[in-house]
Amino acid sequence: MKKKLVALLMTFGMTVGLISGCGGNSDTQSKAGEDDVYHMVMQITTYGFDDADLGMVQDAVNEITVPEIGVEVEFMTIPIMEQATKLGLLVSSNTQIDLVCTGLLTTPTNLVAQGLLTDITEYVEASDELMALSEGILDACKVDGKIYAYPGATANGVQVTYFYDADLAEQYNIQLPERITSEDDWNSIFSQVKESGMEQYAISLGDGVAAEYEWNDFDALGDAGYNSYGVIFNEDDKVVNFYGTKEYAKKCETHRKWYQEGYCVPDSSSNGYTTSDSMANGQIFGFVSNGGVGMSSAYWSKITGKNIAGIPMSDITTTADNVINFSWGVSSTCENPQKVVDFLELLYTNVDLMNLMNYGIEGTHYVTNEGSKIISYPDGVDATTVGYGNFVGTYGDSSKIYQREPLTDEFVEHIPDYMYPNAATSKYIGFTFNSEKVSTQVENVLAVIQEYAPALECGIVEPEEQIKAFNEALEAAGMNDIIAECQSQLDAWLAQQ
Amino acid sequence: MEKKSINQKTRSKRRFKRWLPVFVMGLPGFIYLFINNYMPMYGLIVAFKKFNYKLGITESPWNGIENFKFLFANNDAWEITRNTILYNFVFIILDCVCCIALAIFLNEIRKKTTKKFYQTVILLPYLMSMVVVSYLTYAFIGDRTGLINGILEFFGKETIQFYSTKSYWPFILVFVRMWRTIGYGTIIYLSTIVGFGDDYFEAAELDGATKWQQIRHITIPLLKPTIIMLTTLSVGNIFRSDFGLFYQVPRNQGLLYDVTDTIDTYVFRALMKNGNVGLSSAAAFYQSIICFITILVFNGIIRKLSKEDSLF
Repeated sequence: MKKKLVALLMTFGMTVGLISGCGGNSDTQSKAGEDDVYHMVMQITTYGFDDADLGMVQDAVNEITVPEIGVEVEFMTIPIMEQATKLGLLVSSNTQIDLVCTGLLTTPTNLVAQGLLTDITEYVEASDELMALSEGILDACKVDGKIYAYPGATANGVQVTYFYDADLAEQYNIQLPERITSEDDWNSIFSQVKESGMEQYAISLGDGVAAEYEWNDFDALGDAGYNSYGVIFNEDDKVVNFYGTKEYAKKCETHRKWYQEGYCVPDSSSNGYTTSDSMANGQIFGFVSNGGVGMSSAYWSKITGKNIAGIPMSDITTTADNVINFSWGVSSTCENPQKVVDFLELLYTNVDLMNLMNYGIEGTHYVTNEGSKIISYPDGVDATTVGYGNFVGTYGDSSKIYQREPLTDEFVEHIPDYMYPNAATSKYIGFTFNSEKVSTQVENVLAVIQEYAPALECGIVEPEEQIKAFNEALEAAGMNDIIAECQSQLDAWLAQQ
Repeated sequence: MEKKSINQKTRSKRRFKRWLPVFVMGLPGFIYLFINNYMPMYGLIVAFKKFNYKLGITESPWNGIENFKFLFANNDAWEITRNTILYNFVFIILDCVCCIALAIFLNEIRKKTTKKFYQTVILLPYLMSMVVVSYLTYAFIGDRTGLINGILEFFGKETIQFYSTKSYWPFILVFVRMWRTIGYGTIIYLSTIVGFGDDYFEAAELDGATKWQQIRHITIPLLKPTIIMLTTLSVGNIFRSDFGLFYQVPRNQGLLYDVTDTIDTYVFRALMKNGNVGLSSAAAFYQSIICFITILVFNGIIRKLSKEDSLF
């Protein structure tokens, strides 16, 4: 017994010794740069593999940035699957990373709480260009009134859209409406698809975990996809539990009907394919997603390899979730935030740099067409063989860059519709919910949502009873606490406005 | 008096000198053990902190047992604990029974090449990644494309929606897990059986013992220490679950959580979105403590029952 005690004490002693020995960051080595060139590492979020010509584009970028602002850019590719965790690892291991993506699987609020971002208020406010470009939407990137991120795209508006395979529609002569507004529109499309004899299903509802919604007239207050903070419908200042609303029940019933009619892929929740995967492998005729400048039919055509066209289902709207989706932030270990913001400023004002970052090198990765803002692939190159372009998001000012086929110049003219103030911007864009006080409830509510929502949203189960059980479980997990906390924070915020 | 202590000193000195090479030989092992198993333990304090990457582990502010509350502040706490323990309990029993039976059968195979063949074949699944296993399972029981549903359809029977029916899953999971790991357990028992030597069995045969009697009165009693050791080790992990098995194989279907959710998958799911390091360390810490206690208790019981078989 005594021996064991001694051993235990020794272990304890060693642990304490380690704690005192391991703390603190080791002195950061000063980069011996020539002149005043700052070496900046920038995150490039990819779909899982690195572009062959990434280094070539990086060199071309440096040819612009080094003489202009004295910044030498180094790309660091991070697959989107690792995006949420990689930044933490880089910062804690003291690896240099300066410009990071603060959207996608993370949010600025979340990253700030983990101590991963630098306050860039003074630098951004000092730049007239950056302030002008982000007018009306920059508030979405603020945490506690300070700027921690910068909107990634300037055209952030989204429009829920039914994207479909235009070639199939032509082949089977499917009559499609201009806009989908009612259940009849859906039924008309779906019954045509079913009766046309094509082997594709009319729609896939995906895995239901991050379901795309058939409408977007609510604001998810910073948790789009899960809606765990509660949502506000019609800007009436009332935070409600999304899963307890009539709208949700109706959606589940509609999906159930689709499932029973055989309109949607029956095993979409377990077959492991996302909606765009199903599109790519020819299993479905169409799918629902947010459409926008970055997520246009050209984007989906590139992703799925099909000729995609879209039917809008809603007006163009902008919520905070859309703004922060591709937002940029400066990591907390960055040594020179000024230079990084300088780079951002250049990225949003220098058209050559934007096009270079978005499309690669002219002649090698794309060719321009006379008198048009639409670019094409050079001869002998297509979406699958091009050496650049495998990244998530968009760089710079969307209204100034080229667009890719099959978009048309007509679409380019309409890009301002997706920008502030033309796109209906949510009233709550500057409000960010601080979930710290209810973090336990949020984690548990998330677990409940993942348990019930997918089956309901894929139409696998009868909605009535299941929604009831779902809401009971949500309540037990503390949904009401979250809603109450969110409401009180919102009221306080509204009072300040 | 003095003389004796001097004697003792020189003797211990001599003894030290004599064993020095052995100590030196063991040193790399100890260093490895220390670096690999003891040094990371300082990270345990993250469980009691509000972790901030910028500040690092030491500097982050303390927040007491706040992180642990998450584990118990939900309705599923009971469900996931029950699932974890019951599945592990079934696995321990089945591991024991199936692996011993299989090891005995294998031992009876006389032809060397056949024996080697079977041994390899049953070990093969163990070397597969759980993701592969998950797809293999899907190939069998997939709702639309699965083999079983294909056969049912062929005979004009109604297909079964495995991925949305809870009642099948305890069996599927147990089956998949046994199919995957049985080879490994069998090899451990087989190597023990091979080491017994033939004398006992020859003697028993001369006395006219049947095969069954030989197994009951020779093989099993001789296997007892191995059985106890392996069982104790598994009991030490009764609060952990094979994450791959419970997450990959049911393909993360919400409808099945009642029967497939274990502590590990729950923690993974709840924390995946916000990546809260403090909460996940708290969960791991809690599991470790409970496992530590169970292994002590189990070993205590064994020590009471038969002292020579206890692990420590």
